[in-house]
Amino acid sequence: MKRGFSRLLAALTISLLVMVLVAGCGGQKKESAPSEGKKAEGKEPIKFGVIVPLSGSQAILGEEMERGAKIAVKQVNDAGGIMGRPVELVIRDTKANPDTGVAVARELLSQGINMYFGVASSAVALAVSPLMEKEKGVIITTAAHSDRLTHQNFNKHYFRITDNPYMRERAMAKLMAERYPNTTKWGCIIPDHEYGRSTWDNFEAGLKKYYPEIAKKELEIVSVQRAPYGATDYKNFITAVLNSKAKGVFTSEYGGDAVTMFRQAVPYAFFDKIDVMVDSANEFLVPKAMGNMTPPHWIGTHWYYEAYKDSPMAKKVYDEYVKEYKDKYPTGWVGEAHSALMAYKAAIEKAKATDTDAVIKALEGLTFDSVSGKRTIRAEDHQTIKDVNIIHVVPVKEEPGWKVDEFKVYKGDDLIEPPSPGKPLKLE
Amino acid sequence: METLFLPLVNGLTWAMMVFLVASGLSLVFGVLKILNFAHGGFFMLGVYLTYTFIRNHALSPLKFFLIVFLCGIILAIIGAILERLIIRRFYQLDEAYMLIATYALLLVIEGSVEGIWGLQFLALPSPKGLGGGTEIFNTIIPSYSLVIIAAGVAVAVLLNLLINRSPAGKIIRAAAGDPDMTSALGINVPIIYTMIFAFGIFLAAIGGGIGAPNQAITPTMASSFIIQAFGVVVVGGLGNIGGAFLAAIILGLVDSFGTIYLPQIPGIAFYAAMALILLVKPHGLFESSISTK
Repeated sequence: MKRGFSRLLAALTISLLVMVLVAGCGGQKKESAPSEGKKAEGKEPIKFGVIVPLSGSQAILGEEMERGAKIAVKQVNDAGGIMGRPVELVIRDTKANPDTGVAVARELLSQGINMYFGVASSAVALAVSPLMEKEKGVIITTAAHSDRLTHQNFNKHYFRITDNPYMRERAMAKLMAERYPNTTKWGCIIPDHEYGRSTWDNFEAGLKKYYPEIAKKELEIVSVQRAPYGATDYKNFITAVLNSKAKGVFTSEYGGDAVTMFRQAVPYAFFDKIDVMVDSANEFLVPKAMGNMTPPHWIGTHWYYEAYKDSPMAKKVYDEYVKEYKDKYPTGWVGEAHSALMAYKAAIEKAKATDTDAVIKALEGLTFDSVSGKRTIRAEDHQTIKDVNIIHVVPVKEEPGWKVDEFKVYKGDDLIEPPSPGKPLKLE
Repeated sequence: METLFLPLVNGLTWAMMVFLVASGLSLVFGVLKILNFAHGGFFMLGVYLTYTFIRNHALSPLKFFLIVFLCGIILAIIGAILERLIIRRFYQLDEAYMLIATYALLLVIEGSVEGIWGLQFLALPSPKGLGGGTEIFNTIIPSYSLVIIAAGVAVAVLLNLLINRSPAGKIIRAAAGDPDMTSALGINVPIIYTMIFAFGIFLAAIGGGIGAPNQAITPTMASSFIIQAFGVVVVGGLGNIGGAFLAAIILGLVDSFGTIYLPQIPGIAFYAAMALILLVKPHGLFESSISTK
């Protein structure tokens, strides 16, 4: 009897706690949102759903996207909003989980919000994109790189504001052929899932195109290492690549996995034994973690502010970020979230409406100003034509132990694949 | 030689990392009969606390391991307090409540780590002289791998001595086997429970500190070894530390050679071996050595 009672009590306490927590979180969000739109008061705000990973392994991406979005909202509202209406963000956590992503998107759709941006993971994007089609919303993703999104799984309610693996990896392959013409033996360490394989396939195709074309050399792939997702030990893969005598190494390991892999390669003097290391997408995550242990390597990034220091918009975003978040190294995800809102602003002002059909129509073929110059959203497959940014980092003595010593910008028009919505991507 | 030796060392390194996590888990289960979900959280706190003291300085090995040990003590004290405040209340209740309680504790730890240290990934330099490679049989082995292997073996030997060969071990075994009778003999069982829980946390924390230079430091790393550690504890026989040690080595080697000989299906070998062992021996390789003696 006593035990039954205490069980009931415990269960009640837990459910009460959960309720209080949930109510607390909800309340907080509601309070903070309207205060963001002070300058353009009086009219009904335009609301955007921001669905990003704020917890779990991709939380760091989501945090940067949220920052970029908030900076964009502040700037837009300070300048009078969109069509005189203030802009408001409603932010939700996807936990980088497709089910959670769909659940939070449904919640916001039911509140009448029809315009969305964010999403880091391709799996979440692939789940949310068909929901948008069904429920008449529209989403612009700010990282998800699966080529299915603009190919076999394409629908009109999905837009990608970033580059794609075809553009990104080929730009990096081209850079390798230009800068390391004698590095003809290549290998890779990639995560064993769709993203890992697709990045490598694109990079390999790029190598096979540009080495004969630019370096006038034949290329040899000597080692393809596929590691399980979330592995804690990469030493067997690292030594396999070394033993293959690969001189150029590509990786699309992601986030903490990439840091572990880089960290475990150090004792083997891995980076002294190869000519060049290429990291497809980790922005500043690896150097920020490794400090003065950072090996020299090239990194693909969505937006490198120094490349656009003549652009007032880029400078404003950079300065605002440094001021607000006390960090001198905003990642490209900040720029992409900012660009998504800029695209919406331009589209809404062009359409003079905020309903889904009008916004989709206005986004198609839209050219707008962004932190990385002019971008154009292709009408056929909703892929954005934009610059690909690649940076080179080296270790230095002074804090924070590393610096960017070089960067390259490749124009999107020269790299992008022909549109083929509904059909799989074809690699040459 | 190289093709055998390298995966052997890499497999053993991984095995000992997993064992360092599994040892405390197994000890606490063996004596207190609770599956501590928060164990990975204390592993992570061990990593972060060690990082806080060391940051980007390459310290001498002595200083490094002293700091790791100190962090272990600090977290063990916190563990003892938590046992008194929270864990203790659940001993008399259904096991499910303990799972929920320790899971809640894990969430609190994860949230605290995010709050205190932020989302940024971090990395720790190796102690001086241990950051490079050592050549054995014409093969380069990371020196720090040898440290991890030595640490795992040392923890296994010391734990075995403590539990099976020391007077304190006798009391621990008695408290694990029959707490009521032990209590009737005038031994303060609740204090022993507190100490064992704290000692389990200590093992998790030093495991984290020792492993820190081998790993990325991320606010989600609490789960990075915990699934494998649970696997090792189950395969070794719940609560059997020697069993966990052996299971870690078997599964570590299977996993390591699996990546070499079955590169098409990375990561599968560990789970396949685990399933196979449990099919043949559903209760694991050994019975619990703590409570049955």
